[in-house]
Amino acid sequence: MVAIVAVAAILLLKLVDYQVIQAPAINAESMSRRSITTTVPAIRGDIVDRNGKILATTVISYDINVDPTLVQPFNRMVNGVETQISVQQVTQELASILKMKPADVTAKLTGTSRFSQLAKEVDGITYLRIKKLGIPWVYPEKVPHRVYPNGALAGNLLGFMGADGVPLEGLEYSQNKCLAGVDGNETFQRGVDGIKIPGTADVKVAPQDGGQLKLTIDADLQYYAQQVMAKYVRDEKADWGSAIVVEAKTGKILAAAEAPSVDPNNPTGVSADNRSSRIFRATFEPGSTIKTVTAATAIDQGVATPTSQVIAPQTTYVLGNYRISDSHLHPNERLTLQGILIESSNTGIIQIGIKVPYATRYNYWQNFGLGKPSDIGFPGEAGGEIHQTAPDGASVYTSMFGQAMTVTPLQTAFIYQTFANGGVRLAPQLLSSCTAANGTVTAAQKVADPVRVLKTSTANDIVAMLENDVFQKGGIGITAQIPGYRIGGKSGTAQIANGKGGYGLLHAISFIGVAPAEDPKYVLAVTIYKPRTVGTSIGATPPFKMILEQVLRMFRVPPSTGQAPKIPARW
Amino acid sequence: MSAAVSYRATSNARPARPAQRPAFAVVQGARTAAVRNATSRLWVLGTIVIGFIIIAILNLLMTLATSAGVYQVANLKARQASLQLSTQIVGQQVDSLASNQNLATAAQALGMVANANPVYLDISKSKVYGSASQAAVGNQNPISGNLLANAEWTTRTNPKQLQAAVAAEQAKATKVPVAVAKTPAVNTSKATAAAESVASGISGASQIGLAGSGIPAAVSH
Repeated sequence: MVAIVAVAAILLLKLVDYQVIQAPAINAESMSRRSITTTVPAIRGDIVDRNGKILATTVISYDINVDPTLVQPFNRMVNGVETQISVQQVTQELASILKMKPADVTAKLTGTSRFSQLAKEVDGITYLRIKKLGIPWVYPEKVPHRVYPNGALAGNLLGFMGADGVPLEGLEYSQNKCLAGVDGNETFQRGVDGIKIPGTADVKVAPQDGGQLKLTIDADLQYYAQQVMAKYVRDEKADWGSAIVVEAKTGKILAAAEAPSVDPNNPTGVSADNRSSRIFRATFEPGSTIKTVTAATAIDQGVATPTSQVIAPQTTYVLGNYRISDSHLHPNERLTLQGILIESSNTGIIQIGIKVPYATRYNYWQNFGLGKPSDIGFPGEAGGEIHQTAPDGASVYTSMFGQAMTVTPLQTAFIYQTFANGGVRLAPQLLSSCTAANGTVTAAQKVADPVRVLKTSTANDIVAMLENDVFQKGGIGITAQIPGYRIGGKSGTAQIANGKGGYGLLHAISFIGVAPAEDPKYVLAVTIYKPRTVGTSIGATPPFKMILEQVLRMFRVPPSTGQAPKIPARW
Repeated sequence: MSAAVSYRATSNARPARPAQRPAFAVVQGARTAAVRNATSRLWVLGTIVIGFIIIAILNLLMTLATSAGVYQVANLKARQASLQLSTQIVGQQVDSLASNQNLATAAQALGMVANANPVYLDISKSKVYGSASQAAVGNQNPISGNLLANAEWTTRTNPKQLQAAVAAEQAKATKVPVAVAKTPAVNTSKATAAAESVASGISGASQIGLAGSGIPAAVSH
C-alpha cells in the first residue's frame, strides 16, 4: 500500500513538473519543431512612363534547386503505366528544358552537398515544364525577378538590378526608397505532409510592396528618339549620341534618348561605358551652342542688340599672339549679331562678348544652371565645369564660343529651355510621382524654384534670332527646317580636348532648338560625340529634324502661320 | 418539539390507547415523487452524458470537416498559385506583343510609315493647317527595322499572318474571298511542343494576339 502511494506521489510530482514547471519550455520546444517561418518577399514597385506604360515591373521567377544526396531513379506515369525514370534520362530532360549541356547538369546533380542550384530565375513556362517532369528531388523556389518589357527603351535611365536583386544603376538605384518594399514573414505549424495542422494559428507580418515610380518620359517618343539616335550614331560611326526633349513651359523631360543604349534585362550585353546615362554624366566642351548665351548676356546687359554690327575676319589674334579662327574660310564679313549666329563666327562673337566683364558672364552661366548638378534625381549626375576666374587669358575669349568650360547634354537643353520660357529657367523634371502601395502619392523629386536668368525681351530676341538662324541661308541651321513649322535652333561643332593641352581631330557636334518658334513649347537638344563620317554639326541636324517632326506630330502641334521678322545678318 | 407525543406504561392494563394517536396514512404520491426525483436525476445525468457524447461527436465531425477544409484550402491555394502563374505568363506574352519593338516591326511589316506632313483641321475656325501629301518612303523614312535590344521580346507578331489577316478583313469588307494563312499570328520562341502542352493547361496560348474577328490584337495598338 505504501509503495502504491509512493509511486502515485512520484507520478504526481512528475505530472506537476511536466504540466506546470517545465510546461513553457516544452511548449516552446514543441512549437519550434512544428512551426515553419518563411519569408514573404515584397514586390518591388513598377516604373511607368507619363501615360502609365510599364517600363519596369516585377514577376515571379523560379530558382531550380536540387538535393544531390537524394538523386536517384524515380517512377513516373507514362501512358498510364508507372515507369522508372533513370537519372540519365532525367538529366537529358533537364538539360533540354534549361538549355544546358547534359554534362553540366550531371555535375550539378552530383556531390554530397544537400543543395545545388541547377538554374537561377527561370521563367514561368520553364518552371511548369520542369514541374511536369515530377522529379521528387528538385525543389523550385519562388524569387522576385525584375523585368523590363520594352528592353532598351529608356534603359539608360532606368538602370538595372544585380543578380542578387540589389539595384545597381540608374533610377533603380537612386529611387530605391520609393521602389523597394519590406519583406514580410509567415509562421505556421505543419504535419509531416507539410499541410497546416488544423487550428494552429498563423503569425504573419504582411509584406509591404514597393511604390510605383512615374516618370515624365513618354515611352513612344523615347522609343522613336532612341531609334533615330541609334541609326545616326551607327551611320556616322560616332562614340555616342543623345537627344533630349523638354517641355519648355514645365521643364519636364519627355525623352532622354541615348545610343548606344542598354537593355536592363541584359546589362552585360553592352560594354560598361554604355550602361549608364551620358545625358546626366558625360561632360564636354559645348562649342558654338554657347554663343547664344554670350549673345543673350550682351543683350541682357544692354551692350548689344540682334543687329549690333561687327567686322568678322577669318582669323584674329588676342593677347598678342593667341589665334582665334572661324571654322570655315571667308573674307572679312560685315556681320550683325544675328549674322554671327548664322555664320557661327568665333571672331565675331568675341567682339560682342568682350563688352561684358568675365565675372558678369560667369554669373549668367551660373544662372543658366552650369557648373553644378541639377539635382534631378539621377545618381552620379555631373555638374560640368565653369571657372569663376578665367584659367588663362585666352579662356576669357574661348569661353564665349563654348571652350574652357564643360557641360552635360542636360545642361545644354535647359539653356535653350530658358530662351523658350521667356528667360526663366525651370528645374529639369524626370520623376513625376511615387505612389505607395497604400495609394499615397508623393512627389518623387524636389523641384527647385524657377530662376529668372534673362529679361523676357532678351529671351524673345534670342528665340527670334534662333528662328532666323534656321530660315535664313548662310549657316547649318537651314538644314533643320521643317516644312510648315517655325523652328529655331543653333548648331555647335566643338573640338574635343586630347588630354595633351590641345584638341584632337574629332568633334562633338550638336544642334539645339525650340519649336514652334512663335510660342515655344518644346526644346530638343541633339548631341553626337566623335562622329567619324562627318566633321561638322551638319551631321546633327537630320536626327534633330526627324525627332522634332515626331514631337510636333505626336503632340498635335498645328503648323505655324506666318514667320518671324527677318533680322538682317549683314550690314 | 411541541408536536411530540408521550407514552406512559401501566401494569395489567391493556395498553392504553394513546390518547391521541398520530394519524398515519398512506401519503398518496410520496413514492411517486421519489421515483420522479430519481428519474429526474437519471434524465439529467443522461442528458449530460448524451450532451458530452454529442459534443464529442460534433467535435470529431468538426475536426474532420476542418481537416478536410484545410486540404481543400490548400488545393484552392495551389490552384490560385497556378492561375496567378498562368496570368503572369500570358501577361508577359502580352507585354512582349505590346512592346514598342514588336509594334514598330509589325507596323513596318504592314508598310506603315509616319507622314512627315500632317494636316490638321480646326473645326471651330473651319480651317485646314498644312498641306496633305502622301507619306514618303525610302530616304524620307530612313529607319528600317528595330534597333533597340530587348531580351524580353520573346513573343512576336507574325508579319505574314498579320498581312493575311488584314487582307482578309479588307476582302470581307469588299466581299472578295481571300485565302487566309493558317499559321499562328504569334511566334512564341518558347512555344516548343512541351511548352505548348504545358501552356495549354494555362489559358490557350495559341490564341494570344487574336481578337474575336481574327485580326491580331497587336494591330489595334
